[in-house]
Amino acid sequence: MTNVIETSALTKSYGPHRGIVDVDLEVHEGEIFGFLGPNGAGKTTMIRVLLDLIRPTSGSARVFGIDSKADPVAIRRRTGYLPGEFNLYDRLTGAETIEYFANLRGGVDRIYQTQLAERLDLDTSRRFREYSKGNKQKVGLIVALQHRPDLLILDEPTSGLDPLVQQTFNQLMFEAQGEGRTIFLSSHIIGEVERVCGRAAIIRDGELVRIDSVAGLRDLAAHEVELRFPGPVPTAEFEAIEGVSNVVAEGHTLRMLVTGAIAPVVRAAAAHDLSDFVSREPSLEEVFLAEYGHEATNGRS
Amino acid sequence: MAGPEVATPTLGRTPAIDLIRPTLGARIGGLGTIFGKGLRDARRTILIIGVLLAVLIVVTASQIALAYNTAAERITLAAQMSALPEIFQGMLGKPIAIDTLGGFMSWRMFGFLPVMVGIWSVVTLSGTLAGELARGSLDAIAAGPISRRRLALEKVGSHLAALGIVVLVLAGATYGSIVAFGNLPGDQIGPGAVLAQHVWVFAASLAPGAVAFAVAPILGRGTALGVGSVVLFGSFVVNGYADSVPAFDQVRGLSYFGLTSAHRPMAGAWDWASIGVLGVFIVVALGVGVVLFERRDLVVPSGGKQRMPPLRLGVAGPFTRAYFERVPAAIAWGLGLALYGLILATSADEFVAQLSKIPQVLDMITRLFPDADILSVGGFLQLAFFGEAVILVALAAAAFVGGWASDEGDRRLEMVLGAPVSRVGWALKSGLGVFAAIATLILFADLGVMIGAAIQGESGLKVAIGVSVLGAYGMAIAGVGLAVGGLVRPSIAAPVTVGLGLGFYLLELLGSILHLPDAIVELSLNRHLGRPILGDFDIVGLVICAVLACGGLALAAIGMQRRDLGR
Repeated sequence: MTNVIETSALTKSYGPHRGIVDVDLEVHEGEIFGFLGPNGAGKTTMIRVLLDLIRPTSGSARVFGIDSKADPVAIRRRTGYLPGEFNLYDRLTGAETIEYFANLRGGVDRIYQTQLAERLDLDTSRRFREYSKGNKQKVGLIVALQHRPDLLILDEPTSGLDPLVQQTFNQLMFEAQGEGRTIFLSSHIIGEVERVCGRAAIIRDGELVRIDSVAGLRDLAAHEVELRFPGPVPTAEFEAIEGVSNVVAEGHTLRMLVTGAIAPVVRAAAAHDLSDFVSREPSLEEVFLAEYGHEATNGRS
Repeated sequence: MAGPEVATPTLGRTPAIDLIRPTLGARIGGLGTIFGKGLRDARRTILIIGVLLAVLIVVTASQIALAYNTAAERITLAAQMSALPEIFQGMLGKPIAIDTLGGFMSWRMFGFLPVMVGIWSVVTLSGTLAGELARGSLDAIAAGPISRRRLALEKVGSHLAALGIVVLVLAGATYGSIVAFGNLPGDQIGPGAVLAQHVWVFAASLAPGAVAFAVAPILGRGTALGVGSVVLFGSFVVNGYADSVPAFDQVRGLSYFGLTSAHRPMAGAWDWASIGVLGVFIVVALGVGVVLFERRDLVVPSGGKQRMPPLRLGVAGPFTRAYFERVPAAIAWGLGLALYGLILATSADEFVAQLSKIPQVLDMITRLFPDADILSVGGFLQLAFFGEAVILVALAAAAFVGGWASDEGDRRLEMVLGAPVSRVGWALKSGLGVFAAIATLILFADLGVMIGAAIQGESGLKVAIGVSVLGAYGMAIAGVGLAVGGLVRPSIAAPVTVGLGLGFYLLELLGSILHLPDAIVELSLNRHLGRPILGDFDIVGLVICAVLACGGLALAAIGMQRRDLGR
């Protein structure tokens, strides 16, 4: 599997302030990779190093096999980038802005450019300064997408977009993936990552704390299982199963959290005459909050 | 019989809690009020302007006292200065009691002090509401429990307080200098005269800013900045050359410098009535600004500009983007300079005719400029136009460099460098765009003086080539600004450029009066521009300009290549 992005012990410090610390990351060709973390965790720093907007303090970053410091122009030629915060030229219209960035790339497919504006429902005749936050974001998205880049690096891409446009955005992401392109999507909106990404990494205080498939990450968190019995509940039996915690009996109902494989609980439940069996899969948000909650608890103890 | 007890409705009310109110200290100088925040934001500017100008005042006073330390020398100096025709006296006004320390300082220094401090007022008051509105931060403030009127008043009040602090510092420096260095009869003056002089400094510094503040709610920040600058420099130039240029004499009454020219308390001349008129004008202008801000929607003003037909210029690449982004401002600055040059050029014959009637003045001019035909349109323009246009070109260059730097500061550059554009390529091309904007400005200025010279029957081309040296000068100091912006950080590029322009101007202006060593005065680039309108080119100076411009651009590119972006 070809790696489009590859970092090794990548570190960036801002004097005494932390940026990112010893980040080892691989993003494979053709995948939509989520990069999750709260504000200030180091997501934008990571992206800016990849694009050579800032230089690493130590370690290395390679994009398309090219060292980010060695030939950043070659990297950016094949990349589409949407910054988390950006500003463009107030006096230019949306169309002129898009054209300017197309010109910087030596020209783009005009039909695709027009289609993007139509699909994102952007009136390109208005001046940039007159746009709402969402419309400015649409201009940024078109600038990033219009040249059909091999790699899309998107920092908080749906910020300010309404739900309908977010849906269009998701479709665009899947289409890009279908064409074999790679997407690196940085966000603190977990639902967004969960909807479109195959794999994701969680960054905390500049360090990567988890990398896995979205499904794998979900498995890290506990399933909520609820069993309803016609008679007395066998609490002790379930408490003895490995991975089961927080067992609470209320009347004929037994609730518990199951971490890891759920099969032992299913087998134990099958031995009883059950009225109902409910298992709820954890969301990525719960994984994320568990990760941060766990660390916070440790920090306090 | 008592009725049923009625319960006090509590629905929707929050329980009483102990609020931590902002302290008095926070309200005045911190984050407790809009006024305090404004004052806090201005503290660095207060420090820089206050200290720099105070040092300038002390140095000037000490040097005058040392260089002219007898009554006879003072009288000779006063006689020489008074004998110069107005055009040679520059923009300083009539010399009144300049044989005293206070009189000389009020003439030589205080004439342009309100211009320098006035630039600060114009920049601040044109943007204090309009600029914050454009940035989007005003919405957050206006959404608070505060009326629009109070918001505007607090904003203005913070600038008035900041300006007041600076002027008080200058008054202290002036009075201290007079006490310390005033060693001849008539030198010692009371603090009342010093304070009265500084009341004028305060009012004259505030007036153009008040005009900018009044028009900003309608025209927006950029246009208001231009209007304020026109009022500031227009009033200064009109008053300075009203005795030499008939057209200026006609409108002298509109110049606030002209209106208050008789108020020189440090020279023993008082005219509180004119200060009162100026004060009323300032209050009205500020009031208009407050009322307009209160009544209008909180939207970024369009400036009443008509939408131009779409032209796909300025989107081809970094050079054209940087250039066309600055073209409207370049044309505006250029037209201003062109008008100034046109008025001076068309007035030249009258000036020359009057000068020719005074044999002793002619004799003096011949001794001062032996190899130059000063009694010509070119000679007049060299004296009256070139010397003052330098400072305007410096300000324009600083504005262009500031715009260039804002690409990085406002995070546009991050988007541009997301495209396959190298840092060096962007720096070189966008820097050249800044130089092209300066060239455009000069082109318009050239047109104005060429037309004026042609009307007078002189070679417009020769004059225009001379005026073009201003372009080389502008590119030189812009080059330094670009280099600093590229090597260090973008936010200091424009301040360095404007500081350099003002520094060169002041060094040349005060250097000879203060008898500063040649080695120091020669550091001013203005001393190396020759008298190009008269055909006297300083080749070394032009080479220095070229080196500063090209070297600065190269250093900007090297700096951009080496450092982290987005600082």
